[in-house]
Amino acid sequence: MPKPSDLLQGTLDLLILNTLAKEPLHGWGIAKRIQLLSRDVLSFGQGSLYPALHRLEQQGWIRAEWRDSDLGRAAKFYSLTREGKKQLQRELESWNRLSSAVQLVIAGA
Amino acid sequence: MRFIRIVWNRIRSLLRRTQANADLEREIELHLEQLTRQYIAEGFSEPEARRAAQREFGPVELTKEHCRDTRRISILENLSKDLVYSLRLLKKSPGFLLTAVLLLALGIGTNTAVFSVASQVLLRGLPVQNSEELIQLKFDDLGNHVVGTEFSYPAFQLFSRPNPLLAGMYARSEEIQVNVTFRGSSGLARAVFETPDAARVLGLTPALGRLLNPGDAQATNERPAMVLSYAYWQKRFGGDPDVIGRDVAIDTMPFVIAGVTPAGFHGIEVGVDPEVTLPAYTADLVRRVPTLRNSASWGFAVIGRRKPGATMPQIRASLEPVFTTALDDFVSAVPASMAGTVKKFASKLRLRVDSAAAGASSQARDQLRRPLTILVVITGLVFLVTCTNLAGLILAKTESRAPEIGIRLAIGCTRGRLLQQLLTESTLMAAAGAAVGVLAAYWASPLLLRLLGGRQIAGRLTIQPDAYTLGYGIALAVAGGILIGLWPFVRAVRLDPLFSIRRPAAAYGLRNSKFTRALIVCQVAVSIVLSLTAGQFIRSLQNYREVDAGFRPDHLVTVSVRPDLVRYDGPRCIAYARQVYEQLAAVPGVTSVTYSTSPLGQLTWSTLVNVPGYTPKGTLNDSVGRNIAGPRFVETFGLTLLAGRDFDLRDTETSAPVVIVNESFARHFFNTGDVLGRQISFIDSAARKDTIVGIVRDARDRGVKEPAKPVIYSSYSHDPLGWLAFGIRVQGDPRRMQHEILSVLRQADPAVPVAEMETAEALWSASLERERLLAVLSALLGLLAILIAMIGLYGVLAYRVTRRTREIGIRMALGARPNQVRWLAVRESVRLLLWGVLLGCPAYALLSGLLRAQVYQVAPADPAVIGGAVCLLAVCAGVATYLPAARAVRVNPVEALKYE
Repeated sequence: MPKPSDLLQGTLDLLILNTLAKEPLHGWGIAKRIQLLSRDVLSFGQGSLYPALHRLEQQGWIRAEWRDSDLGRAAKFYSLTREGKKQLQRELESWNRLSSAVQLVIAGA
Repeated sequence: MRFIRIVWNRIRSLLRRTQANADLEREIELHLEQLTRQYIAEGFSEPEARRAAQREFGPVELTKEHCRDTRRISILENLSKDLVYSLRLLKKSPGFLLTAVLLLALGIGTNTAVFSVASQVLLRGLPVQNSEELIQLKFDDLGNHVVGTEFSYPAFQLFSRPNPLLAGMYARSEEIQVNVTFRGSSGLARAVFETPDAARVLGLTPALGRLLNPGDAQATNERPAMVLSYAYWQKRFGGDPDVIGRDVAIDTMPFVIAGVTPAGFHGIEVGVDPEVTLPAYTADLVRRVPTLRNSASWGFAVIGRRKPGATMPQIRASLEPVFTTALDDFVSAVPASMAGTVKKFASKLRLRVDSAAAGASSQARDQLRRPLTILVVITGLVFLVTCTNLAGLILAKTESRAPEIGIRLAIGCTRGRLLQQLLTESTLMAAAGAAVGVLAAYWASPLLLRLLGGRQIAGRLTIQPDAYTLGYGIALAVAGGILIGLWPFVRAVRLDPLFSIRRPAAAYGLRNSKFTRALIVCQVAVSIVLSLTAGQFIRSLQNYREVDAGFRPDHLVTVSVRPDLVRYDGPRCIAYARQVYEQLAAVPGVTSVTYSTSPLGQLTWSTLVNVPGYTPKGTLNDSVGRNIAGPRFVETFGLTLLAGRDFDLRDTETSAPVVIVNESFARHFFNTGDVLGRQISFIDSAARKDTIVGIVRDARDRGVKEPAKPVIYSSYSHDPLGWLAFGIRVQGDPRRMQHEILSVLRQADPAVPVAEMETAEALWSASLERERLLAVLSALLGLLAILIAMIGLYGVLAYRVTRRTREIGIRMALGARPNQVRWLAVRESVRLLLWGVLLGCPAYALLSGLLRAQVYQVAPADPAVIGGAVCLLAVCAGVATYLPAARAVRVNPVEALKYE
């Protein structure tokens, strides 16, 4: 059961899931990737990434394992599970609905 | 699937907590390291870079905490923390803890004990399949109160003819005592006769062997079968499976043990738990009284099972014509001289069909319903007082914790967490109280039952510690925990954290609050109700004690014997009674001996008499008590002879039959006291004319609780029955004589079973055990409630004086007199008490309806009761008020102005 989540938390979840859809990545990598792709527009306390990651892991949408990394030592890599992929689809759809609705409202005003 | 994964994740992280925490540390450390490296690469010095990294990352510890939170089963973890914390807090004030636990144990214990008895007696369902289909036939007089539940055997045979609405029907006799002889040893047991359909109608399966079946409907060449109850099988035969198929003698008649009833089955009537079940057709042979073909002998309860869909009115309608036939048979079965009386009586009877889903109509249940309801109410009220008082105490304790609670709220403790913690604490106390209370209840409830119901009922009812009782105890503990813990929480969440840390008392200001005062008012109200109730019971017991028995129970031993169980016939009974009578009279220390079918005060038998010249009123009014007595009956029991003579040795089988009557009898049937020489006849020997030779003053023949009614005593020589009780008046302590009496009985015939031996005083006072219990219990609980309420009152007043020390100081400095200062405390006390009394009176009015039938000659507004309760409350309140008032007077104005 996806819990009802507030907009920001939902957005962060979406960003993480979307980032991980391409390849498994560690926390640092996820933070960098989101910053890079959003051209630093989406900046957030990087720490808040971790509770979100742990929550997603507990929810069973992502799984984690320790393996060697490009950072010179072992890091915790997160990857999407099958349920995670489905959840990403759901979140993308609802995001699209929301953003297009907002677009419409703004354009109409 | 995902749900399972989530649960698995949670469990895994709970188990691998250290590992998971270490992983978290490493992960975050790595991130910080990377950030720092990035800043160094941008040209920051290392310390600067580290600071910048931490700034960008955000609060590290909080992040870790949040991460840990995601994998927590937080309620459980918090709970264990709260438990540890609560235990530490409670350990700091052991006195308070002990008081609270004791109070709760008392409250929960009394409630649980009363509940376990009530649930067994009033609520116990039948361990029978689809018990809601069971019905019982009854009859009443024109829809008024239930007159009877027993029918004649011929009537049952009419009822049990095939009926499309019924799946089956069976009859069960009254319980009788039989002598069971097995391998040479005998012992008395309770027995009933049952028609063989019982097992099928009830859907019972035997624990062993077989129950009665259609093969047991009538006599065959074989010995008749009998069934043991599970408890009796265990008690008498040690649960030996080998007894099945063995020979047993009931009285002296041979039977064979066919089987054992299921373990949880105690009969279908609360308070009647037969140990032996015999086939109905053997009833006449065993009892040696022809009842099975006698339409005038009504002694069988009729139980049936309706078919699904059949309604009570339908069944009633289908059986109504049968009932009319049975009544006609009844009328034609009685002697012609009685027919008129009986016909008039029978014409008013109407058949009823009642549900027997919760068991058949039960005397024990009817007798105990009201006392138990009263006890449930009383103990419930005491529990309420206990909880409100503890809530007040905890509230006061929470006040001293205001700084702590303030700090917790300030640093972000949620309301939910605070509530959880406070409830944990109070529930912990309540649980400890419940543990003690429920244990005590298991011990106390059989005692309670014995005192409430007397030996008769207690011997037939088993109070087992069952899941219901345990559940009730737990429910009380939870309710108590919430009741106690919720109020402090309600106050605590309104705290202003800053204020409460600096000036805890002022921030709370709660002892003064309306809420605390409302609690006190409630407690006062409940204690008023309880002390009035206790007063009623005490008065009632007093009234019973002052009842004039009409005979002298002191220095009197009664011993009941059952020669009928060893096949004595009438002449042998007479000879036996006469022999024992003479031998007992010869024992040194014995002043007088007699015998009768019922000892005085224990009479249960009623009969109808035919009095020439008297027009029957045609109702139950004409039934009279009947006792059959031997020589010196009036003298030995200490009845007052008003005219004529006592029975004596001249009254033999061959002399003219004579009777003694009481005053009520004379007045009812002859309208005069002068009835010597008049003649009457009994319904069962209508041809015989008995002459009245004596008149005695009315006595309480049926025990202290039954008002005197017409009673007739006939001579044993003419109506020898197989059960009788010797009454022996002795010098000195009657209990010392028991050994000699028994040895006389053994000499006369060791085979004759002795059913009971007791002093008449013990029997007399045993019948008041329920009243005594109600009086003592309600008085104790009432006192407890008053004590608790007064402690609460004292607390409020004392606190009020302390809070107003400064004001009192100013008043005194300005010249207030001591009485005016005292008045500050007294006024508050009087106000709370008045409110309590105002609230308590209507509550008592509600309860007094329930009490009315349970007390003897006490008006609901008995002046002594009300006066007593008011005085008691006034004295206690006086003490609770005096101490704070005295402290107010001792306030030193100078000190007081410096205060705070």
